[in-house]
Amino acid sequence: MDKVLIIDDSDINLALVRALVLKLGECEPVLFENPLQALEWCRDNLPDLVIVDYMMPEMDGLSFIKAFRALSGRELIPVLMVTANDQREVRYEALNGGANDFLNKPIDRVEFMARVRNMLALRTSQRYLADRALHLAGLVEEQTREIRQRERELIYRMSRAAEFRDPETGAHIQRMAHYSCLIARRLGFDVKLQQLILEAAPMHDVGKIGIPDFILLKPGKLTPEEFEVMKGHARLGYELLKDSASETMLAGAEIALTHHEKFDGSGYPRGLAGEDIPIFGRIVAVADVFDALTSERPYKRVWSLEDAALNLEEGRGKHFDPDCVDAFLGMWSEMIEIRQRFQDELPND
Amino acid sequence: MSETFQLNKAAILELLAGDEELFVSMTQVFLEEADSYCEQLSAALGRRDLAVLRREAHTLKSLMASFADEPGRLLAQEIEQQAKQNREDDLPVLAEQSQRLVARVRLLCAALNKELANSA
Repeated sequence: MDKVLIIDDSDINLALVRALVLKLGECEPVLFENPLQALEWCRDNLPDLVIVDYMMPEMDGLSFIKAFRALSGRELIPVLMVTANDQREVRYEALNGGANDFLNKPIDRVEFMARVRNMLALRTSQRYLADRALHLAGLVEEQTREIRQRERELIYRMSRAAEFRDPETGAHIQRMAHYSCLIARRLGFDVKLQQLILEAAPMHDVGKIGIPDFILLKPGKLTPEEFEVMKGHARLGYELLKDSASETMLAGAEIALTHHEKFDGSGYPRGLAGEDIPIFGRIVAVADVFDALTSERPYKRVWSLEDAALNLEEGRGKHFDPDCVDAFLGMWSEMIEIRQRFQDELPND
Repeated sequence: MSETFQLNKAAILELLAGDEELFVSMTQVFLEEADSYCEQLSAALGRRDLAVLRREAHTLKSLMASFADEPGRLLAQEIEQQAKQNREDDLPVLAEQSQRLVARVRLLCAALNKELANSA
């Protein structure tokens, strides 16, 4: 049922137009003598066609059309203005102001029916296109969701591939990613960026895939030469991810390259300092070191949470961005909850 | 001398694509409202409100056209255009024209009443 809004200060014209609209069938006429009241009605209701007279006491047809068009979602609804043939200037102004067509006075039934039918057909097409656009947008959203899901799975599997060759555990990757997200939240990042760092942080050590076993798995201290090779994992990870079309992979590339930089410029691989280090790299540096210190490994003792926090404090402005340290320590109870949620698996006997 | 009036029902029905039912309902509404239109026209003139006079003449112009009364439509159009000039000097002429228009509306009403009575 098409809703046809009719505005005319003359009762007889309202009655005539109403009768003609009803003769079209499948139409519901909505009548107003006062254009201001009609405009109020339009704020909460969506007509399919507007038929408005030009000359009315409170507000003329031109002003009505302008005000109507200014309402959100009413930009394309067909509007017919009723004018006399001798009102050429009014017609030009109405066309410029947003009227789609005219009805001549005195109203001729045949002309009226044809023009109103045309306008309602236009409206039907608009609705069809809008529905179709909505349907397509839904499909795109669904497909995008599937792609994102596959991307997340790929990232997870890639991070695990690196993990198989590294003494670090899967739980470490989960914890440091969630710690990174905590810091981002505390720093005021929007939800999208928080999600991005959560998904990208697990790739921070993916470059270790390219480090020889005798270095990566060496139980003792690395020689200076071996350490130089080990440092190469940052650039290797970056090279692996850098050309991706995925926003998450690109964030992962940045994190891989910069998470060993230090705030005072003494880190690697590029020796960047302060805010020259991308913020994701500065965040992950805090999260990664804290979790490494507080995790048990065959080759090192476990640090207490308090000692690890002290280490972060001592590293403020040297190793770590002070803002990131403060953000992390400011989320202490949330950090404990993450530690409890992602615990290292006990080794099999 | 009193003006003659001939209702052109065929022309009215042509506008309505021969719809007798629509003609009757349109006529009934007009007969109910006609006095009010004439009163508003006279009141605007009494207040020397040329903007309202113009608007009322405009309304009557379209009504007279709907009932295929070309002399009545032309008279209303003259008043509308003259009032648009917004010159107080024109008031005597406008008063005379308005009187003629009101008389024309009365003639139309009488003819329409007669037509309705005949078709009842």
